[in-house]
Amino acid sequence: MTEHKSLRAFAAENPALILVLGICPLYASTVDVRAAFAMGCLVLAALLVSGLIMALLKRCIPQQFTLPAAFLVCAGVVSVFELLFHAWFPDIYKILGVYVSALSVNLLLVAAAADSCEQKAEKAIGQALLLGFIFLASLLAVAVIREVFGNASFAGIEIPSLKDYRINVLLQPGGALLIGAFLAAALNAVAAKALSSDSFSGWFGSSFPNAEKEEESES
Amino acid sequence: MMESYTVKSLILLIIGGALAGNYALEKLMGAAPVFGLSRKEKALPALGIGVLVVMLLTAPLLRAVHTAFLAPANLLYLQNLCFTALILCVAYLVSLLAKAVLKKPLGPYFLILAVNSAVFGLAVNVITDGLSLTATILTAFGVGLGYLFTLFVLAGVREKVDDFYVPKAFRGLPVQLLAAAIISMALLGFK
Repeated sequence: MTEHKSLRAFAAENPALILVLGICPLYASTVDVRAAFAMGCLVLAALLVSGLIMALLKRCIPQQFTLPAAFLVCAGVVSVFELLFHAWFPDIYKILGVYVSALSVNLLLVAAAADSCEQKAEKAIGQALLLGFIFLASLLAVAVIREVFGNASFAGIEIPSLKDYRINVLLQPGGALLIGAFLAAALNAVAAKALSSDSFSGWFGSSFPNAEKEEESES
Repeated sequence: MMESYTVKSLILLIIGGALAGNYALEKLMGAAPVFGLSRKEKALPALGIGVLVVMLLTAPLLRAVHTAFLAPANLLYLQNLCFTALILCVAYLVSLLAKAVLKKPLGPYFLILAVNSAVFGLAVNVITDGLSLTATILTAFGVGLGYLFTLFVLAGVREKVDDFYVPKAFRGLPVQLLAAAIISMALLGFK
């Protein structure tokens, strides 16, 4: 059962590729594998810390302010990591540019933080770790394809045999969306083959409003 | 200091923001809510115009806060926190305003849509590029229009795609992403 659950978490409910939560870093930072790895680690760390803070603060935050509080906690945590990142890895920080700051309003971070507000600290950490690793893996998958076939290199090391067969369009934003589409389709196919429909209840509970729920309430 | 703008440069600023520098499709900022908004065609115009208004209000406001307060007081490390809080307040005010004008709440989803990285990134980019106030407002207008355009185009694509056969694995999001990729490549032509 647990295997099924993690497969479902990765394939059918992949936060980045299927639920498209916070895909702005997913596509913007994947021209270079190193940048994608750094961004993935940053998201993982920010998820962990913001989830933990929200889980510890749950008694102090009234329910109707969960979402604004989640936004502010995420912005604060991202600011801290941004400063550390700027000091320790200035080269990669330069590649990522404004996208590191833009993590402050990243939907994935905010949704996870808002959800942690209703959970115990251990559970919040567990979910943050799972989400973070899946996000990191998705980033790396997109980045490897884009860099190897688009730029004929891997983590900055050139691959001479691929140099004449570079697909330039993969380096454009459209190329990222293209790869995202194919990876999402592959995950859909895996999910349809390997999973029944009712073993995973979704990432976020009632704390995070989404389109479907709102539609239900309207009707 | 008044800067002089010709009509051509003003139009270029708006078109540049809407098409060549489209945030959702070219910079891939704020793309998440665009794709996540898959089943909300009815409320789409109100939500899109709401985001346009939020962009129009936040870009000059955040630019002013940055130049008048954060930069002189050497508090740039508070930029993310301050910007997020201000964008949240503006988005909340806009949703209240919309409730008063439209007599119908925009719903909790509006906050998710309005506080996105396109709004945030627009403010940061305007400050980094050192744009003047007029240019900031025009760029915000252009970018907001571009965002609205993206929302409508993808909703239209979704409607059309439903009429055709799509392989099972590609149904839903993948085919939308493919369409967005093609539109994004087409927009490259405006650069």
